[in-house]
Amino acid sequence: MASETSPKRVVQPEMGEAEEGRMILNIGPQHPSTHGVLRVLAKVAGETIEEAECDIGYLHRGVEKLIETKRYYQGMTYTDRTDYTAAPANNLGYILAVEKLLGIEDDIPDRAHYLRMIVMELARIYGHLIWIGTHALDMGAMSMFLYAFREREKISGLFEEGCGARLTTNFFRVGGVGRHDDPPGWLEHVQEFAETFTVEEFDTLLTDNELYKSRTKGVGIISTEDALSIGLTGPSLRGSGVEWDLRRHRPYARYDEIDYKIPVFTEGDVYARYMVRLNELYQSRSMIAQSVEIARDLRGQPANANLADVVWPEIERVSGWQPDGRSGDMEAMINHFKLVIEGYKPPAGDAYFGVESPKGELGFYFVSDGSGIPYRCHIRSPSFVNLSSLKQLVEGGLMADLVACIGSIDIVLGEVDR
Amino acid sequence: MLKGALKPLLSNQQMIEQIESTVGSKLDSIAEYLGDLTLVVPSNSLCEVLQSLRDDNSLRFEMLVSITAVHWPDRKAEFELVYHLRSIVNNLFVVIKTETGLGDAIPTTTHLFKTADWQEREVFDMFGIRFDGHPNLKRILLPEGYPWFPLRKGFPIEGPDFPIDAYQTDAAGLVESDDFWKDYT
Repeated sequence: MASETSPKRVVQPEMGEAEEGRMILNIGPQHPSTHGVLRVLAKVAGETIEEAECDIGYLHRGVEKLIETKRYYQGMTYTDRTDYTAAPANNLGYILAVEKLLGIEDDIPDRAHYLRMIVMELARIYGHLIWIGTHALDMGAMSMFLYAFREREKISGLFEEGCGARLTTNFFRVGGVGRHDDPPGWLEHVQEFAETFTVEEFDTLLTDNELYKSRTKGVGIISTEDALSIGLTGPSLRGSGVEWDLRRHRPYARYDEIDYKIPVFTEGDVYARYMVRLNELYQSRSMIAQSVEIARDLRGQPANANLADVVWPEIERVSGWQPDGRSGDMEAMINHFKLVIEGYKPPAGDAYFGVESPKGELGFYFVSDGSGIPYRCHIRSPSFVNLSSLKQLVEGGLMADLVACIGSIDIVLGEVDR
Repeated sequence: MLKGALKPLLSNQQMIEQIESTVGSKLDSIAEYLGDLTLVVPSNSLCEVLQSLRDDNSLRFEMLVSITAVHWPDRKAEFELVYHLRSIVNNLFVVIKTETGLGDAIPTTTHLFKTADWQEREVFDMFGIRFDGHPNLKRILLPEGYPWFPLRKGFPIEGPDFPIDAYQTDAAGLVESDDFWKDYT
């Protein structure tokens, strides 16, 4: 077949010709206010946006396809790179889906659950801080960025102390938290962070700021019906007056055993979404403090399930790893070898699990064919679905509000494009 | 401050009864696996079922959480489409599955849920499944004009290493014919 008849190569999406008095404006993909490589085409009449279209995919790496070629424990490393502003949240979604598929949810010890919750809520603060900093920067409040990153740096440090990595944490393991079981003094450092983390600072800087309010109140309104139909989740949905939080409605880990409120605002504008996230910072801080207290009481208890066919044996027991040349445990070595080479094999079937990530509902859908490699892995990414609301948010609004709207739905392009 | 979990309004058994009374005649099967209900529907009644589940007052599945597909090259109908639905008001969750063959089209759900717009485009992008009636069915993540559908099972993970024309005539079903493309370029 001649190449002329092969599929037509259209290089870029076009909006067609602009009519008289209209202009087609290209924003991004390389632009700081698009929070990554997002390209937006806007047809404007003067300052008003008449039509907007997103062009995404610049960061597509085929994460789903890659996971479908790796063992379950290997695939988890890719999830760090989707929503890289809050990597542990992705790890948690991944392992909970795998645990559901394996049917071992009830075997996970309490201590692992509380450690997971601590890290998850740290990740929520981590994600919201980068959002609050960059969104305020978009709105012209430069100092917020510096304050947010000062706090964020402390959480990076806690991640590093807990698991050795600052950004791509890969914190948890199927069956528990692996060897990232509370290094000496770590819980105390987390406690210290929870006590000294000053959300009030952000509150006083932005909440009553007249300039910020004038840029965000009444801008980018999305109604409850539209929010549900578009599939908005997370703070964007709660900013439209829907009380929906998977931690409360579909509890996982031990979220049903600690106190917290779900902030809900009904205005549905950029400011409401800001208020939801700000209040979530308060809630997460209190949740960390509560979880740390319980996790300290549980010290000495195992942080991994007692399942030899899923959880790797402690490396010190494995033959050949002893520094003093002792023979070690041959059984442990065989077990370790089998888990590394074959991995665990969930029974054939499928499972979907959604967690409340900082951005919204992050779902992992796995199909197993009974082998050690997932047959299909789908990532239901909150950023992708939330970004599809952008057209609705900006059309009919002013050009200057576009940046506020993009910021307010809190997208991470690594997660949009996967 | 509030503690504890909010329970689903209906148990799975009650949900099965309610679903059977609403759309029972249009379903192929209802099964429960790992605590989730899975409804299998023929593709021609997919929209009716989704609409009934959305509008039924005691179910109210108003949020289409995700649309995805699974490729089973050995089956007669190669693609299995999976829809995950949530009811926010009643705190319910259900999975809907339907099947379609290579080259067949599936009815779009964009008129029922706005989220279907992008999610169906993604499925089209990755699997080459056509959605009949979709207002803007074109690639979303991959560049326009990209000829392959990478999430099909025959697509090599390291990427195709031979020219597009060789794929044009291959039997693996990785590339559709020009007829397929003429509407989308």
